[in-house]
Formats: sequence, structure tokens, C-alpha cells
Amino acid sequence: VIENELRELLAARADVVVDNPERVREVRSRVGAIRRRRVAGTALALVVLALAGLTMTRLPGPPATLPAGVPAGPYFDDDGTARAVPGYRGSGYFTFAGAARWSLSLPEPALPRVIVARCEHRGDLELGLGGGQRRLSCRVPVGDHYEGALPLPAGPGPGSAEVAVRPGSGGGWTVGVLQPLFPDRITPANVPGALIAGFGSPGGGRMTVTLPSTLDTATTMVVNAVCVRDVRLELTLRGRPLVEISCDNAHVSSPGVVTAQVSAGTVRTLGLRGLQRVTIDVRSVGRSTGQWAIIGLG
Amino acid sequence: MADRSGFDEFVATRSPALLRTAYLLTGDHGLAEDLLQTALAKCWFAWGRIDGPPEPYVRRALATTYATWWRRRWRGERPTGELPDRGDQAATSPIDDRDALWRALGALPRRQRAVVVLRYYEDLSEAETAAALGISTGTVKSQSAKALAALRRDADLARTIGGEQ
Repeated sequence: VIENELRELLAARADVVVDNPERVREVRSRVGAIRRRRVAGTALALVVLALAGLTMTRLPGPPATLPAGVPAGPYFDDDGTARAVPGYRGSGYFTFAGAARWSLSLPEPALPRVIVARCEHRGDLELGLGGGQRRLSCRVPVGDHYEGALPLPAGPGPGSAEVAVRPGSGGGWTVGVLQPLFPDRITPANVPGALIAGFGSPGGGRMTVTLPSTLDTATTMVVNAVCVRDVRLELTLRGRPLVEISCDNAHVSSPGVVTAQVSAGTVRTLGLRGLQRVTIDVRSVGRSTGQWAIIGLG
Repeated sequence: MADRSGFDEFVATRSPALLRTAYLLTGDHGLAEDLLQTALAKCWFAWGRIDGPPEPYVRRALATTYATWWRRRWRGERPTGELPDRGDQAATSPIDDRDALWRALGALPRRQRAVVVLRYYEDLSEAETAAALGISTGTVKSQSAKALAALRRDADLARTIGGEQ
């Protein structure tokens, strides 16, 4: 019954519906509106994409990093003072600003050197190195400033670098030079005139030397050596301990050179005198390597 | 460019019938106009890709637009400045019963109402109704049964109320 009532109801209700004579025109109008919305939507999407592209191009690139072959920073504190860099010794630090040219003293080139820089704003330095030009990029953010470094390999080279700030790299600058305390490797060419070296006999050997003329029973004596890190040498004279040379940070007198002091008591006990000719036994007791040489007494 | 020849002629000739269906679906003349315009505009963009007679495609667009897009656009309550007249329950007549049935039809869920309109106005088979709404024949059966049960309840209520007065 309900189905019949429904049919009648729906037919009766539908009969009173009057169609719109403007149907075709209005459908066309609706189509036009949809098209306009689509065009506007596409245009909006393109604008969004363009804005996103602009934003992307303005994003900073990958973070600046230090070049290979330099120690990890930071090299400076926020107040501009140089920080201790483990395994390295710094020298020659100076601060400057402006467009003038400055001279940076470079240490002996027997060991690699690393020129380090601190800058208030991102920028670059031009370094004149004996006719060659190198660029030091100072763009690694550290605290309130930026830092950069430029490695210079060991080997013959100039004793100084001419430093100039590249145009557009304003603000205050500090530069300095780091040098490793120990070489990675030494060769006979690095230690010409060595009293004894471990290249051929890593475990040690014997050397006959003339003691310094200034030595007497009231003074001390030093022994200088070149070695890689963690070498330890025991020196004995007539079977009695003379001195031990430890190739560690605490005994580096200058980068690459370790100094051990023979105490006045030992000098006195052993009866050492200036210009005395003695035979000293050297035994390597630390790191097992022939990368060491005793280069002098003083 | 899609071939849309024949679209205008189709609209001109079939618009009255389609509008009646739209009215039975929405229960409102203005909404029926909007629903039909929207469905026809959708079909205009697809006209060149329709295989065979366009009417089943248009009818399906009408039904699916009502069942989906319709929900978003017209579901909210519409404010009115006048309260509806309350009928005199004592003056029950066949006309009143029909009104009660029409109101009950308007209270059905949209899919059940669509099934009822297609089955009992368009006289579509269950399979044709399923195709028009994009649902299974089983769903058409169950939705139809639920709709009829709901209408019976409401229609009976109207008669009961009328009988008691």
C-alpha cells in the first residue's frame, strides 16, 4: 500500500514543478563560473608555487663547514681571544679592520700550518703567499661571530702571508696561525744532522757526543728531539739513567720539537763536564716506531 | 576540444523531467534548480566522453551530486522569518496523509530518499537504481526496505493522530 501511495505522492508532487525556460543559458553561465574558478584556482596555485620557489631560493644553503685538513673549531671565543686548540699551538694573532693590507708571520714550514680567522660578519680574506693567491672563507657560525680556516701544507714556502679583506667583507677580523705540536711523519730530510735517529733502528741505538762547553756540575743540560706523538726515549750513560724524552704535549718546546732537561743533580752525579766526549745509549720504550731523532744537546 | 554538440538540445528537452527528479530529491524548488544546474554543468565538461545515451549519465550525476556534494552545501539549517503554520489535527483528510508522507519522505536519510525517488518515481529497477547511485543492488534493497519501514511508521502515526481527534 505504501508503495502505491508513494508513487501517487511523487507523481503529484512532480506535476507541479515548472521548468526554467532559461535553463540552457543558466547552465552555460554556471559552466563559465566553474571555468573562471578553475582558472583562478590554477593562477592561485601558480602564485603559491612561485612564492614557494622564491622562499626556497632565499633559504640559506647548506651550512658552511671548515675545509678538510684543519682541526675542529672553535678557534676563538666570543670576546675575540684565541682558544686553545688541542694538539695545536697558535701564534701570530692580530686584529684588524678595513681595507688595508696586513702581514701575517708564518712559522717554520717543517710542519703543516693552518691560518685561522674570526670575523664579525660572513666574509672572505685574500691571502698573498709568495706570489700565489689563496682565499680564506670565514662563514662558519660560532657564537656571535663566524670562523674560517685555510690549511697550508708542510714544505718550502713563504715566511709570511699578505692579508687583505675581500670587498664586501666588512667588520672586525682576527687572524692567526695554528701548527700541530707533532708531525704525522718525519723523514731523514726533516732532521738533517741528527745525532741519532730511529729510521733504521726503531728500538734505539748508541750515540757518541761532545757535551756542551757551558756545562759544569752546577748547571743543567737539555736534549732536543723530533718525534711523532707518544714516542718515549730513555737515555742512559754508562748504564745509569740520564734523562727520559716524552713526546707529549707537556714537553713540546716548539711545534715538532720536544725538549727534555737533564737535572743538575744528574749532571753532578754522573760527573758531566763541558766538552766531555760521552757515549749515550738510547732506547725507545714508548710507541713502537722509528719516527724519532735526537737533534742536539744544549 | 570535446564535442558538445547536442548538449543544448538535450538540456532543452530533458530539463523538465530532470528538474522534477531534482525536486523530489531535495523537496525544495530553489534547491532543485541549483542541484540540476550543478549536475548539468558537471556533465557539460564530460559531454564529449559520454558513451551511449546521455540521460543515464546525467541522472547518475544528479543522484550522486545530491548524495555527496549536496550534503556539504545544503545540510545546514536555513533561517526563516516565519514560523510554519501548524495544521488543525482534527481536520484530517487524505490530503493531510499525503502531506505527512511527504514530510516523512523529507526526513529520510539522503540515500534512502534517493532510492525511493528512483525506484517509485523514475520506476528504475533495483539494478538501474544501484547503477545510478553507484552502490550495490543489495544496498538498494536494504535502503529501500528501511525507507519504506520508516515511511510506514510516520504515515501510521499521522493516521493515528488523525483518528484520535
